[in-house]
Amino acid sequence: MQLDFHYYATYCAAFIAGYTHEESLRIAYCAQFTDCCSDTFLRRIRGPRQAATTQLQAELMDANTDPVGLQNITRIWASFHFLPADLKATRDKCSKRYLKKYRLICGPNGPLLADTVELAKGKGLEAAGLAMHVLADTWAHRHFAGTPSLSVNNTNYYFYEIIPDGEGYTERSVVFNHNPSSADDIERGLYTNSLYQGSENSIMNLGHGRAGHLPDYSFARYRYLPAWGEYREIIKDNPSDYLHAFTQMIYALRYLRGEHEVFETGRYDAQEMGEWTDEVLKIISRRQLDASSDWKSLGESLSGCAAEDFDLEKYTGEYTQAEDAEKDDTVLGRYFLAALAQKSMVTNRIFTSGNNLAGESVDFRKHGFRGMRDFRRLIREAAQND
Amino acid sequence: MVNNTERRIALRRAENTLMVVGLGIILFSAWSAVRTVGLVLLYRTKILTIIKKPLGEMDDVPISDNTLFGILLAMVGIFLLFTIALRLFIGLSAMAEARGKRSGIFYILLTVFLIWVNIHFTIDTFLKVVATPAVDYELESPTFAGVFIELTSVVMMIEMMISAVRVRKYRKQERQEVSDAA
Repeated sequence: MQLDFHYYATYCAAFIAGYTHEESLRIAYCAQFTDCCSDTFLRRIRGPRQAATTQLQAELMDANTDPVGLQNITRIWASFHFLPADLKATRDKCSKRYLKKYRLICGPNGPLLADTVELAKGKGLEAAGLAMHVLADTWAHRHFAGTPSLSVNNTNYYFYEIIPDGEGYTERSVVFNHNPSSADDIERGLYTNSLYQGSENSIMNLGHGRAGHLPDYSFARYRYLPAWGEYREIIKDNPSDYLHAFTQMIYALRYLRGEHEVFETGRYDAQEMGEWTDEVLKIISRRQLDASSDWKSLGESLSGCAAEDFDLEKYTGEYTQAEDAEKDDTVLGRYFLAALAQKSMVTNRIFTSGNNLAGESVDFRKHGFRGMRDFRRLIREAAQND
Repeated sequence: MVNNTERRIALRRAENTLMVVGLGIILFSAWSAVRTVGLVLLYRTKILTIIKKPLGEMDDVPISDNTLFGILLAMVGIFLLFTIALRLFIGLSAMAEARGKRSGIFYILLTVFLIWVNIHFTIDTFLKVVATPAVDYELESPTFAGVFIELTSVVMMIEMMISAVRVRKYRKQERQEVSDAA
């Protein structure tokens, strides 16, 4: 997903769920910030580098794809953008090596989603925002894995866009080019995707790169053959998935506010949209590359307040000017704690399922602290809560 | 609506193979061209010696080495253009068929012809390799590497034929089913 949904739509969902305008802005900021909190940014503000929730293109180009490098990449992308749906998925006649990658395929309503939302409970608006980003991406990025893998994430020439045409639909072959500076042309069906690379672990085969930005467009419906599908086609219906993501965010945020006692996967608070349902459906279905202005208008209609645009630097001053001992109490500090906790949790779940693609995970309560210094914050926080 | 019947999956698999192998045949023609031009350029002197042997007996037809080599290059070029065009036609027809466009049967017949030529050439080369194990590489002495490459080309063309036949069979079955239902 992109800024229009992660920021503005999350703001709308938060307000509908009962948060105030200011709280909704904070949640929305943190949801969108998950796509901006890179190692480069953290170096600049001297934040904990293990709290990185994304990698810039330039960082990915420089990233190693040896086993350790792949684990670093997988830890970030599987934890925040491609949450695995089923770590115990089975598949006939495949190697163990392939099965590990297959089990990282992202999808909605998996056990890890419940863990993600419950992890954010009682941890503030920043953690809620992070959880909403992860939740929303489980819908948009489903069928792709957050690890570089040609055999899982590749697509081929069999890629057709399904376009509403009166009462029915027409299909049009999608033409991909590899020029990242050219904008997608939805009128002519010209989209950009990552270059085909025959190497299994090439960065080009990370996530949904081979499908371009199509998973991030709420209006898009398309039919394609995923590499893992053994020639079974999939129809990706983004309008439906985005609507599910939006209503599930409302449900999850109401849970985090305490209005639901438990968080159950597969539940959606669609009725909370009320009179705004049609407007939400219209925005999701409108064929446009960026729906920010539509979502922003909706948000302002909902709250009656001006929804400020996303500003990456909004809280950096507070963080950089705080004393070391007080950094964790700033907005970004709390976000970093949430990110470290999310990364730690997902890595642990993947590791304990017998899958080492995200690296090793040590339960520090049992074995004492080992690993990255940045994660000491989690121990301090756990000790405070105890 | 999603169509994931066994036959449709098998059809997609055959189409994909046809697409990949069609592209492979086109790329192989590039390899053939590079190999041939490389051999001609690297063994210029030796080739000229072989060609000039019969010409040397015709005392009233003096031709300079450069002219002779130019004529040779032109002939090789024409031959290469023909083989590349042939493989390009076969490869592009296979890829078009894979994408659902109707292709005639001509490219399949051409493939049969190419397979026959290649098998003949490969067997001949293989016998030479076995009969005369080369220590110092000579122009006339083929190598196992060359044999394997030719074999790969033959396997690819056979695979292409099988996939083309399968694609036609499955599509025919589907059309039959549609017309029966109608």
